[in-house]
Amino acid sequence: MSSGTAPLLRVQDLRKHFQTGGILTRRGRVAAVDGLSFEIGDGETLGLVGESGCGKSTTGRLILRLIEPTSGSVVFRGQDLLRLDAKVMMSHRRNLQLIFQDPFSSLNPCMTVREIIEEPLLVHHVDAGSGLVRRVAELLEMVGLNPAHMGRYPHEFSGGQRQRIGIARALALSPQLIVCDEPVSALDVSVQAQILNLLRRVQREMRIGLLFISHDLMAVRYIAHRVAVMYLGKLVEVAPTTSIFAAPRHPYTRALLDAIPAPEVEHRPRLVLEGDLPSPLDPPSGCHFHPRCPFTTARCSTEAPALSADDKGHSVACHNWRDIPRWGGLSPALTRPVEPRLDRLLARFRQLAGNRPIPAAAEA
Amino acid sequence: MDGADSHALSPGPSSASGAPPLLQVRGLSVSFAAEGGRVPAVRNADFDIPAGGCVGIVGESGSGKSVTSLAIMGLLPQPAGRISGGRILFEGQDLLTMPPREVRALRGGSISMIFQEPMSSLNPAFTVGDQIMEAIRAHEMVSAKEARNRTIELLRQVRIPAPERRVDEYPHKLSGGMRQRVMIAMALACNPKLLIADEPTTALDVTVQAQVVELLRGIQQRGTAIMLISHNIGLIAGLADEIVVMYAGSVVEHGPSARVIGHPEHPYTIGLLGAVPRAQPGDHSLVGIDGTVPDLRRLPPGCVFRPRCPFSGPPCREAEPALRPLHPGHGAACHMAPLEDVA
Repeated sequence: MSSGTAPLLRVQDLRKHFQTGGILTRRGRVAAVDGLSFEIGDGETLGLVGESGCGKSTTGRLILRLIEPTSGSVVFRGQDLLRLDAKVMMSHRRNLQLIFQDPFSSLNPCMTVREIIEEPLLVHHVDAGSGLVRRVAELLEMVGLNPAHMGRYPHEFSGGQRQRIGIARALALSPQLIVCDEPVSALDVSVQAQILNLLRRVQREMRIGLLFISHDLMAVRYIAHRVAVMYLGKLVEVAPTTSIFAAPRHPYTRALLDAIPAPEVEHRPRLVLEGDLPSPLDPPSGCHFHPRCPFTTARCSTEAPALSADDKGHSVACHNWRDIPRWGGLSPALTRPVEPRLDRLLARFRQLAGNRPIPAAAEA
Repeated sequence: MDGADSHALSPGPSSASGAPPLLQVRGLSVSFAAEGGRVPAVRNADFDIPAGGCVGIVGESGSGKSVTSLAIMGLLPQPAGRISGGRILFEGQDLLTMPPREVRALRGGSISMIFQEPMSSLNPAFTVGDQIMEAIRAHEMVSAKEARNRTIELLRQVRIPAPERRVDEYPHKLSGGMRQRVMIAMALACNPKLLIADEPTTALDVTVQAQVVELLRGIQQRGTAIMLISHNIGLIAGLADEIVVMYAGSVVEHGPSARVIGHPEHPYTIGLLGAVPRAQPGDHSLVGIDGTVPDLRRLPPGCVFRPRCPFSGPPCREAEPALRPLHPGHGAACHMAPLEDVA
């Protein structure tokens, strides 16, 4: 990323304001995304974390131009996507794909798996003719599904399998950037792990840039190289994954990390936030987080802090991050090494998964 | 499994002191009518909840954890759901043979429940206060004024700011976290001895989840027993004294939390623990349990976990394993357990 070449994606001062109200209610304006700037490098996974209503999903959709931003720029490979006309944008779409949260509503129930995965190839005139079936089979194998099932319909598959179909569809055009919007949160825990492993594997093997949108910090830690934390439309902290988990600077990031349930009864001091997310219709003045922040000072309620980076690429938007007490760290239950016995037993599960015929993703 | 076995398995902290458990579930089986016959949703489940204790039930979709709680509450959808066997003893009395009137008095009184969806569990046409007061007055003869005062006190207890004002607000004015707290206040209205919490934090934001967890911890410390149902083994382990792991309708492992987390015996529990991302040093790949939860209409013969299990052997095809003790208070339903010799 810092090698001097342009990043895969550079988002600058991206804003999206929605009008609300109208005939019966007072008109208002929601700044769902409020001046976001970040980059994603080639083959890099950026985790975008936040709670409901913080604007993380809107951000994903803005990047893909599924909704039009109010202002800002989205520069992909040196070209501002927001300035492209519809036709040129269309040809760019093959490089930009989306994986949805809900594997039930995001697949057309009237189409077979083959048709679902073929569709992007047909739309973009790739591999037309006899190559198509082979490509679909290859994609299905890549995501761990049996190619013999390509004639089946989505309802014949479980949630996890459907999410694999969605991933195969996203991979069909060998995109350079995939936006994953909460790709595992609708799935059972044991299936979540399969999908996280799959996403991590294809991302590493195909060197895809990934924007991984999630509310689950531990999933983000597992999959992302860098993490961006969002609160009420703004980024509050962006840092390499290891730094943000070792020493989070923003009080909100700390609260998110402290809220991860640790698998044992514990009595460590935790930062449990009071109150709920404020309404984005009427965000607090100054730093949006100040009414819930235990370290707030007078300055916080009047002056919004800017996101400023240090030389290690760790940025934070907080006036007081240098002065607040040291963070106690993640629960020891989360950080201690897995017991040797459990690790040995888990190795059997890994073996079983490894023995299954999933050929490596050989990309042309 | 017979009754003697399960008693040997679930002594629980309170039975050590001689008192009978608050709730005893014995051989509970629940089935649902569906096309082409009945679907077994819970099969022969056994567990106890000691008075004042917290027992966590962990499982994925289709494990039968929510159906179990609905059966205890007498809320199984009718006429599709049917309890096809077993007993549910609350303070020694079988809820399944008790006259309906007495069960109704217990439900919402001594036993209460909170659900995953605080959005759909509140009536949008009544104020928050009306709904909590209704719960109080359904079980106790108190004046409207006293009920209102108690309601405000309850709202304060669940840390709702400005309860005097909130009591007259309608549910749509409240956030998701606030609604869940109203539900908890309602569940606490009659000082229940047992609170059943079915995925109480799943629909909430991360920071709000932490608040609700703290609230539940406080409720248990004040003496209310909690049956906590969740798919999140981390959440359960942080709150519960004992863990019951359910898979495809049956209890596959049961024991003290620290023991089940630290020394799991059932392959499914082991897989679940490996599926949760942690922050331990090194780059460990997550363990996804291969395959998916079986279709309850077509359960595989023998052990239902066998198709996904890396430890399975010849006996696993033959018969469904019964829950058997492997350690004091800790049991697993696995033919191959203890797994030390296998690994």
